Amino acid sequence: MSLKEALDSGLETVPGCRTICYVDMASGLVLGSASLARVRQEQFDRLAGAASALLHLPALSHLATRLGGARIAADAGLAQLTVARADELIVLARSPAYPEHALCYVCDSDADPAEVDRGIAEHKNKLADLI
Amino acid sequence: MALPDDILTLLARIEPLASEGARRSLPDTGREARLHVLVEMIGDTVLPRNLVFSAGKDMSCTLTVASGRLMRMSVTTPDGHQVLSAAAGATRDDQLAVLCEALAGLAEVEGALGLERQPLAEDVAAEEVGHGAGEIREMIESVNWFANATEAPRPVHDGAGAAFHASAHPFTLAQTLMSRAGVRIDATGAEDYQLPQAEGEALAATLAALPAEVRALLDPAAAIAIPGAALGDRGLLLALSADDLAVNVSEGDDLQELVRRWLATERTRGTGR
Repeated sequence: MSLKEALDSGLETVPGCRTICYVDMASGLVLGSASLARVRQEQFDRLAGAASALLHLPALSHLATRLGGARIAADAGLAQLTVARADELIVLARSPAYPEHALCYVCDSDADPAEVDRGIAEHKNKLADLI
Repeated sequence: MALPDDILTLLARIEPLASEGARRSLPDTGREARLHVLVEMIGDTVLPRNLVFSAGKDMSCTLTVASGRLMRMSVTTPDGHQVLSAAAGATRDDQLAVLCEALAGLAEVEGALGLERQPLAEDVAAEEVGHGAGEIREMIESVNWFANATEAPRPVHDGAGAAFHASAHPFTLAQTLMSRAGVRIDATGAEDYQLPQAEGEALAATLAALPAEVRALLDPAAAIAIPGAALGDRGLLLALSADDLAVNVSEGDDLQELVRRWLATERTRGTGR
């Protein structure tokens, strides 16, 4: 399965998902993408920037450790988080195999958060050997 | 023979899991506010549950709830045990008044109330009609249940995040509400899970220092949900509005419920604009 096919499959697996991109957080490069409609490069760049900034943000890892009880290594950062906005749900998830790579899922805001989480877990499982 | 390190790590996590379980506490947010939270919990409970509240070792109160309706209420005190819905008056209105008075009594207990949610068999809802959250709310609003008491008013916050803050309350272990600069406005729930003033200010400063394109993603309002990294971890939801910043700590599936409620609040605000 190619990266493009793998990302395309996420559009079917994750409820309400309209865009997926796979980014290298270190360089900020978008390595691949899939979308139901045309998406401007600036929007992919914005997602790559958000993944890098938020998954690496020490203040959020500190909160997850202090209040959430998570055990996060000092420089590991968060594995996943969701940004909810009035018009969309954005899930930023680190690649299990390549921690400096992340998958960014953009879903409609009327998608159920629990179903989105389940769909993303299933999609990440499918991609485990690839990314 | 010593156990492998990974097994010991796993065992070390079991005790916190068992101690947290489905237990939590309902903070003392004031009688009126807590009474409304109790009614909201009834309305929000779809699958059959016993909501068991405890105060001290001798007093407990069990609400049997399903499909947003209060089916039964029983109270155990040092003087004995009473099932209120069966013992109350002949008419449904009489029963409702007794239940509302008892709910007000529960809301009035000083200090935090222990709370445990116990799943029940699916057929509970079919056994009894119960009283809907709407009619309970109507009844409690028609009578001053705390007429003989006075209460110090809680600080009122009517910022852009206030509606979500109130709506999220039943699904949190703790909430810390701050200004966008991190100045604490209110905090409820277990103190261990509240954010101290200094940490709130540091968090606010960090968020303000994010790159412009990331801040644009979080403006004018957004919620950041951070799931637990492992089973037993608590989930966090940071709610950012134009006026305030709130850190909500939840457990289990409640994090997803917080996201649902945040989106619902935004939809309501959107239609009201």
